[in-house]
Amino acid sequence: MTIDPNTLTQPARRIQIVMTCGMALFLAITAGLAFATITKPSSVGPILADFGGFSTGPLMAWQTVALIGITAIHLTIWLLLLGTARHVFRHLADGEPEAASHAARNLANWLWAMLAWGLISQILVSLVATWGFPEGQRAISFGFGTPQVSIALSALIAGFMARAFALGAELWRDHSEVV
Amino acid sequence: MPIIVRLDVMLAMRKMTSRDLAARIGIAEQNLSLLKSGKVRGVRFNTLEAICSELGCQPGDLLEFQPETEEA
Repeated sequence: MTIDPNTLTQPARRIQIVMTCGMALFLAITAGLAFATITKPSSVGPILADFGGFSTGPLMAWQTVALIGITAIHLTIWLLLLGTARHVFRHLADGEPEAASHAARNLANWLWAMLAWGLISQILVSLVATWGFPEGQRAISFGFGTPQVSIALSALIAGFMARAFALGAELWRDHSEVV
Repeated sequence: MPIIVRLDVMLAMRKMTSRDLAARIGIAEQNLSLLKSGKVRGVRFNTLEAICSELGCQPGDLLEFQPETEEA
């Protein structure tokens, strides 16, 4: 029986392109944030706070810097995550399941990091954004909902995929040594 | 490996080259060469069937079991 690896490699190549587009999008967002920070630093803070679900007036300089820092870490993790996912699909497209297995393990780790940072950043954003509020209106927000559950599930699936790819690599090696 | 592949002997007896056999049974010459040198993990039944059918022999003519001798 002949196994055609193209049924896997061609869709993997397409998903690799999607991941590259995702990285380009996040790079553009990062560049936009950097540009806004330089040109209109006073308006970036309230926009980011609003994005985090907190409507605020003008913020102090340290609050803006903190919100930009939190967002920058978020964007960095997203870029690393998409870059790792791109690696997974590139290795699959190149017919290297063993390397894809390592990349999938890294992807699972980045997804857990994303989940952890998502929870921590929510606390930090609420704390920073409401710091200047009158007493009694300051807040510390912590939430675990559908997005967090989705990320946790994705991390579990990526971890399982890493094991499946490792097994697939072994089977492929065995298959290629049978004539 | 105690399994010895006698494909080269059978090819010599039939005065056939590896390239000819590979082309006739539809497998890569490189794979046939690996089989001839015994550097494979296994042989599929359909490959064995094609070789036997082309060379007019039995699987036992192609494969031989030689137990490894224990050195004292």
